[in-house]
Amino acid sequence: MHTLTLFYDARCGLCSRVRQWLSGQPAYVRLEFLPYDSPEAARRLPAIRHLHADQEIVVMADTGEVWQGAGAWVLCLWALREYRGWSARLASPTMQVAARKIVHWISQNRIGMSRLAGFKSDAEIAATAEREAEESVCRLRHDLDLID
Amino acid sequence: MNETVITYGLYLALAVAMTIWVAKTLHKSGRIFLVECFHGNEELADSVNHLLVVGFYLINIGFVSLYLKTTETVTGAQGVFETLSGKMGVVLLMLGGMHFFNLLLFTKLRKRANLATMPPPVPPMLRVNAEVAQLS
Repeated sequence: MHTLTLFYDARCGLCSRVRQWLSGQPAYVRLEFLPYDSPEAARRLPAIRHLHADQEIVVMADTGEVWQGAGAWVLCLWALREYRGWSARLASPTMQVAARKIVHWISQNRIGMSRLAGFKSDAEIAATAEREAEESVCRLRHDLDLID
Repeated sequence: MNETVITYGLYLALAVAMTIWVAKTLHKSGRIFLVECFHGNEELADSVNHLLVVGFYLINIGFVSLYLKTTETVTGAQGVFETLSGKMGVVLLMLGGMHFFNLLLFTKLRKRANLATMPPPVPPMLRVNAEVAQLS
């Protein structure tokens, strides 16, 4: 396996923060991030529309294996150089039961938690950047009009 | 030559002999661990093994030297045995501690080497066509 694609929720602040953290970590494999509802995600993994990716994170390897929920989080840790040992510990059946419950709870409450912590989602950041770019174009046009 | 000097002489001989024995044991039995850690690169393993043993000697002989002096006056054969036994006890505990520290280091290195080739620890819930998955 060389690449691990993560289908995450770009509209969730917590998920976007986790994405930022994951992309900054040294990893054994390449990590790719795609919003689960993007056309690119549907093209790469057509089955994603049946997986309820809005509820639990989906991870796909370039070899075609797909994980979701607690298993997907274990795979994320497995991909990281510093945390592979933790993935082995969390993969034991008893830990998986607990992990599944915790991951499910966090997934259910992620929007509220993001709002509480003040995390901005990637979608919001992109929208703000777009708005600012538009505003600067408008200002430029306005300045040019004044010159005319 | 009084009893204190006899104690010093016996202490140095015993402590250095013990250090050499432990270092030789580590050197001999630790090699296979290191060879596995470095994926069969015997040259690198031997080099690291040698460096570890040198560090082990320096620390232990340094400690043995610093711990040589005794403030109490040693009198008679009984005194020699008592002082020597107290000193050797501490040196042996120190050697034991260093030995286990080295073992810990070897095990950590070995675990780290194994992690790099570890397969995903949980089975996938779904398998899709790998060609589609590789599309980008």
